[in-house]
Amino acid sequence: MLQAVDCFLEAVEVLFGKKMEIMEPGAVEVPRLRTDCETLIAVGLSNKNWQGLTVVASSMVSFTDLVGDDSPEQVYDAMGEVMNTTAGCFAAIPEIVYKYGELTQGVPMRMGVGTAFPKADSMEAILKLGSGHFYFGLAIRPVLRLNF
Amino acid sequence: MTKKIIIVDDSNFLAKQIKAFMENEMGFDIVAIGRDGNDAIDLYKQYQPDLLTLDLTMPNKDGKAAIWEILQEYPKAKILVISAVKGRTMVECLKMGARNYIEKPLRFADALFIDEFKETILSVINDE
Repeated sequence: MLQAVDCFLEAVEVLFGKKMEIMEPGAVEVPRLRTDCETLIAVGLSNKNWQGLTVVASSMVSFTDLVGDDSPEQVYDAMGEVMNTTAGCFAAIPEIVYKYGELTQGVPMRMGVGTAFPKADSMEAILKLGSGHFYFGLAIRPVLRLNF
Repeated sequence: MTKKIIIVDDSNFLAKQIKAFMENEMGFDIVAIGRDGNDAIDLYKQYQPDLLTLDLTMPNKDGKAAIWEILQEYPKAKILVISAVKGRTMVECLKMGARNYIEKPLRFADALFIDEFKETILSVINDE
């Protein structure tokens, strides 16, 4: 799970030429994803047995600085591509394929404040770039089905 | 004659990068840019380009469905998949008839990647 943030860091470096640092205590496993950041961009991952979510969150000011474009649409577009790349990289990690199977990813989504994804295998990390802070999280849980 | 290229990717950010590369590094003419599988099919019919670059994960209609529909009508279409999706899907696209597959992220700052990317593009365009 913890390799997920490495996929994100690589995507940011390749797409924007910028290196983020992971803040202490580093990437940690958590029972749910939770952030108070105002702007979230996410990509879903799933197969018949598992559903997952990878998310980055921060302020629009920090995203604008990272992307280098002050148009919100361009920010969402560029960060969507970062998350798309991150999800693809994560889903291809051999240990992840072994544990969860082949995960299919969805298109990037913008989400609201305070999203949680409980009852999941999850990890999160706070990342720093200049004066900006970014929340990165990834969670996978069994598909929730109703039994009739 | 200048090669005609269509780029299809739901990320405008990435489509612009690919366009700049194709125009500046390879001297190609980008005749259209699409955002989903429906655009890929419609634009292919309209322009019948020398090369279609195609993302897979897109809204409305994905790249795999577009590959199938385009090749049904244009079996000689030259499609290069550019996607973050790896693994079995990659193999499925090639079995369906896509000519080659480039994994995202596109490392335009890496000289080795640029050489490989150019070589792959030319091998698809020149492949009869």
